[in-house]
Amino acid sequence: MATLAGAQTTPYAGANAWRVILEWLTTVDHKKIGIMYLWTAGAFGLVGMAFSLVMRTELAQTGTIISAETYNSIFTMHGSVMIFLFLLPIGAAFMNYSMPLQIGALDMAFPRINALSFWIFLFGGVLLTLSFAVEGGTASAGWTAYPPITLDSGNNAEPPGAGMDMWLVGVILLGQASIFGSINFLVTIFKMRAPGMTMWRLPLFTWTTLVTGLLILLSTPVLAAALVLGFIDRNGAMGAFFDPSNGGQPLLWQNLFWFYSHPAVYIMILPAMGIVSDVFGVFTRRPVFGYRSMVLALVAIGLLGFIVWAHHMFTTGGVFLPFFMGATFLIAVPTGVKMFNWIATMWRGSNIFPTAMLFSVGFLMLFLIGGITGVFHAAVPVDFALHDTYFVVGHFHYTMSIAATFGFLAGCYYWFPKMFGKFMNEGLGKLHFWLLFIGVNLVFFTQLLLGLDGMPRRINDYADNPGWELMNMLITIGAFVSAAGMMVFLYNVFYSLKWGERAGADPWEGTTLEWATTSPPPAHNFDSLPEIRSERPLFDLRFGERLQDDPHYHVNGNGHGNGGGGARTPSATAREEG
Amino acid sequence: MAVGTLPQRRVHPIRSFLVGEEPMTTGLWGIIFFIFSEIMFFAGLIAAMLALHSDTLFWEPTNGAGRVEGDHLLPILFTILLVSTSIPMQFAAFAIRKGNRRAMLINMAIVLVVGTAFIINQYFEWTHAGFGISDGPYAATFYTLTGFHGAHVIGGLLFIFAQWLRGLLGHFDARRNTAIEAATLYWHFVGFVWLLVIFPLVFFLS
Amino acid sequence: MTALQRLWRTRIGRLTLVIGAVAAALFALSGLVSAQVALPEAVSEQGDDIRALFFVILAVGVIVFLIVEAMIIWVVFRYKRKSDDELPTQIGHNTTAEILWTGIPLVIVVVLFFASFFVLQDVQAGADSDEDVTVVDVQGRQWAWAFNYAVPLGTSLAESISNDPAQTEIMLEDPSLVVPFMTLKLGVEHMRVVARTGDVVTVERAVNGTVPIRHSAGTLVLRSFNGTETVAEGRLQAADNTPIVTVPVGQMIRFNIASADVLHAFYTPQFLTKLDAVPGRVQTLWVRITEAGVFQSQCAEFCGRDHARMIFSVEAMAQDDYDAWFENKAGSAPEPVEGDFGGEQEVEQEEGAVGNPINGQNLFFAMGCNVCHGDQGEGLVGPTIAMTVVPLDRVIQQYREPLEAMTAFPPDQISDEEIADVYAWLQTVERPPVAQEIPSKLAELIAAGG
Ligand code: HEM
Ligand SMILES: [Cu+2]
Ligand SMILES: [Cu+2]
Repeated sequence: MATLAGAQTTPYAGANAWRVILEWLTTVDHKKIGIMYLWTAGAFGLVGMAFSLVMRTELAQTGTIISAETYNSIFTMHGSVMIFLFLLPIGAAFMNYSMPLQIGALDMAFPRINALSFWIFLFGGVLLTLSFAVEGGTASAGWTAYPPITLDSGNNAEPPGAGMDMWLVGVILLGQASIFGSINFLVTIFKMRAPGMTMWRLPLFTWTTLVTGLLILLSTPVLAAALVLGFIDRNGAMGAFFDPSNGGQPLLWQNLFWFYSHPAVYIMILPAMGIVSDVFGVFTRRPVFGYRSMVLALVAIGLLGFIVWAHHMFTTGGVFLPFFMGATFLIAVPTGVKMFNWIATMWRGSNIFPTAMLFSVGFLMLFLIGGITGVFHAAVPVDFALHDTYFVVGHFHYTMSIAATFGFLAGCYYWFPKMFGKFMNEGLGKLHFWLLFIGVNLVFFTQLLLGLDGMPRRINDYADNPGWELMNMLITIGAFVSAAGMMVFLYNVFYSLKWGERAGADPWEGTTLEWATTSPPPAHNFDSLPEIRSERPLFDLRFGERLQDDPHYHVNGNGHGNGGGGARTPSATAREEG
Repeated sequence: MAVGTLPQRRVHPIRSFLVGEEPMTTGLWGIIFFIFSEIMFFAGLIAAMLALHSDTLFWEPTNGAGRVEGDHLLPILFTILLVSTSIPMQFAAFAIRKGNRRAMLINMAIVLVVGTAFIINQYFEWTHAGFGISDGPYAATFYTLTGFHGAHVIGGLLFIFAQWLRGLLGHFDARRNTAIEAATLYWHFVGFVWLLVIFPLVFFLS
Repeated sequence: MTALQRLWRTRIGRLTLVIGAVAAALFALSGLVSAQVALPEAVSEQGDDIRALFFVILAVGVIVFLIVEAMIIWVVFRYKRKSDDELPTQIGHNTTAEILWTGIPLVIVVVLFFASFFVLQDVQAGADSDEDVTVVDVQGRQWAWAFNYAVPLGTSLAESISNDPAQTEIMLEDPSLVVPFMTLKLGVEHMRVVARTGDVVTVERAVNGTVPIRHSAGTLVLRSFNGTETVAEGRLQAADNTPIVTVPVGQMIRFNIASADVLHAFYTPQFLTKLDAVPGRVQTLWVRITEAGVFQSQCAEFCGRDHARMIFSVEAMAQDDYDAWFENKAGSAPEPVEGDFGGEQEVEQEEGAVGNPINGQNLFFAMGCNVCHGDQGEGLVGPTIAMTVVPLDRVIQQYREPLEAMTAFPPDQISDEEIADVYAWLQTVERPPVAQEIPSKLAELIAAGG
């Protein structure tokens, strides 16, 4: 502990406001870029939430309040904003901020490209948002944008306007930002690890970053291809790609789209899983159970993720059902392995439950329901009944949206002290947790039931079937309870930034390297690094001596001996950049 | 993970051919990952073309103009030319690994000239195709694939040209040559995509 | 009882019991809810299978949920840090446990896979070869449904179909009812009409997904509606003009599902299944209904503004009732129209420029006009030409020296008289309810030139 420096004073005390702004605008520091991602994604998340409240107000009762066009535009933008502008970039935020710290690197491999990624992302996001202002409004074909409804060729009765083009271009840009980001993550992990940080000593969050990076790298370009074709189809090709009236195939889009978007759901959930793994490791004082099987499960999920895309297309009549059904069922296995490993980490642990840990436990409970409902969809005949009903909506919110958000919120509470040198308020945090937990379960469990009863998704009004109005009202109430929870969170953020309790370098008794530097860390990240002999270097430092005689305690990589050779510091390379 | 400072360490011959004996820089890793993403992009476009071709109501240009014929001399000639520029590009890399900047510059100049000629020929292919981009799946894929490939060739040429200028200014030597290695790898990729995929498919798929 | 008492004595046992009791109470509650809210009771044979599979997965899911949830709750409440310097066990892995919790889920999903696989086979099996089948052509369009019925033409004709080639020509006694792209029921085969010249009809097997269909024309029963009209006081309820598809109970029904414009999905919750209507494809959904009744149904794939209002009903009736209904409908089918059509239109026409619409219709398809202008002349890539107001001589000129992208047709391909036939037919087709006007330079020219 002697090597750890104390907390810093506010870095910008007395600085000229313009200089501060300019500094942030021109920064290439991975921590600042991470924080910018965090704020931007958070802001977009609130926008997305506002959209959801509009939808829930409309659906609370039968009958309509807003026009069908408005509703369609709002639900499209809700999905697009939440996925492309909240979940994907908030993962990027934590990967940017924490991953280099966790491997003891000084910065990303390509700091300037990292900054470029952020600005491209922001530009793409602004483009999507601006489409509200153009004639014809935003895209309104859902976040999946299935043609021919996105086209103005053929027989589409209401061809969308320029908003659709802005959507396509915006998402291309967001994808490009992701690709640059992923190259950065991968090269950083492969090349910039501190001496002693072997692959089998990477913290699990870093492992998830690595797998996520590979998924982004290999799947996003295919989405880009689809979007490019979609754009050309609207501007010149007259549907030659996706509209049969000019020889195109609507299902082609769906194949390309889901080739990206199924991996994309893992791109969103894996970083959250990584955060949760790290949090469990810290607050139980135990090694994350089955470290290696965790990594293997990650890789298995990543690989399987590339061969299940057509499970979103079971009812199109255009895919080979048994294969995709089998592959989809298989994904449940590594998912289960992770679940049991997390539980086993808490088993016989010395557990404490600050808010970060609460959200992690919440993550487990929500993700469990998400995984089980996934199995219903995997069974093709059952999916025939459930596809495109509210059951799907419930399923993917339990997994991707809510479980992932819980993971990221755990990350917020966990790394806030590192980022800003202050604790978030625990009392407000617990209030936030309970409001959100109750709210989202009310929303999404009820949606599962509604879906079973056959309510289709993406409708702005529904038949007055028995129970439907009641259930829809419950969902709307749940949505507002959740929103209240998020308001508490928002207040907590600003409250804690100003009045939060000061946190030292290592307020949680962390195990990984980011806690071996000041909070917030200096621009160059580390003044010195502890010796790295396992995936928990700080734990070894703190408790290693006391545990010397424990037969289960292995300092060399979690009971599996050592793995791989030593990584090099960047300066060890002979060839120079040029 | 190799410990790069040890001189005895032998590297795989293919790796040595492609990026030399020296340890890989972050820049080289970056370009390799970038090329992977590019491969997936073209894989997406090509998969789209194959899917369209295999299951479409019609394929040939709907205005009756007929496809661009790949067995005409010019496209074949320029295909061979483009792909063979991988050789001078690789020679440029070999040269700079030995510190021979002059040979590198000469080889790169060949690449620049032939690459530009290829682009000019593509321009004529486009202006002489008898169909427009809206004339059905074949026409649309033709313009899309050759267009995106052409854009990548142009991007590659611009990058090579920039490095060429740097070379003139005296940059690069046996140890500082990441950009040249990167340009070489990228150029191989551009030629490979054209030769093995786009050219045969776009020009011969009937 | 004693086992329970023994359990109650330990702390962990008490906790488990309490949690178990709470969970049981919760599930009793959710059971009460789901008594009303579950997958609907199936009214079809296939639906019954799917529902059974659903309950298998539900049972597995609930058990897994209870076990895992109990484990989470247990570790959370049981293992808390007691003192600040407490250090728990550092066991980091356990091969047996890890193999178990990989292996058991694997076995479960493999079993579920096979269960689902066999149900899938059943659900998609279709009709036996010697079985009578009702064939309904379903067409989704923004935002309405059209239902057409295959005409039973008698088994005697079946012999004239050779088995091998995908396309065959057959002779029909009364081909006047036949419209291109409709499904014909020939014995046990379902054939799709590709073209007709005189009395000779070319048909091809209606294979799932491979039939190059654009639009199926309505002859027998066409009930479409303009979605917005069904909204009574803002509520989505079956109104008088809701499209209804009438089908018999007990017989295999083959829905041939197609789309005229964008994606839709044919979804009857009580069949527990759905199938997308994909433009450019025809897909088959097999259903054998087991109960008479009217089943509310709805489009399930987002299709634009009035997607939520794209409802329809399936009316299933006993075979006898159905037969009677069908006779009645078939009898009142609109006869293909013949004769003079020029007169009714306010169109400047040369004297005597009347054509034979039947021949015109054949030509329209034979020449491939429908590829660009749609099967009803409603416009696809080409403009809408149904009931065109463009004078005939201008139309002939368009054939010979087309403006815009249309292919030219010299007189040796189609004579002036034949164009007049097509023209006559075009005057008879109804403009589809949601016809899309594609602005064309031609129309502008006409408008400008008078
Ligand atoms: C046990 C694991 C899982 C299985 C077996 C599974 C299976 C499925 C299937 C078959 C569908 C298609 C349902 C339909 O559209 O009819 C689906 C939809 C979806 N799943 Fe999963 N899933 C699993 C986990 C996940 C996870 C972890 C995520 C996100 C992180 C996720 C996100 C989604 C999303 C976003 C959709 C629907 C997207 C849309 O239609 O808009 N799923 N899942
Ligand atoms: Cu998926
Ligand atoms: Cu619809």
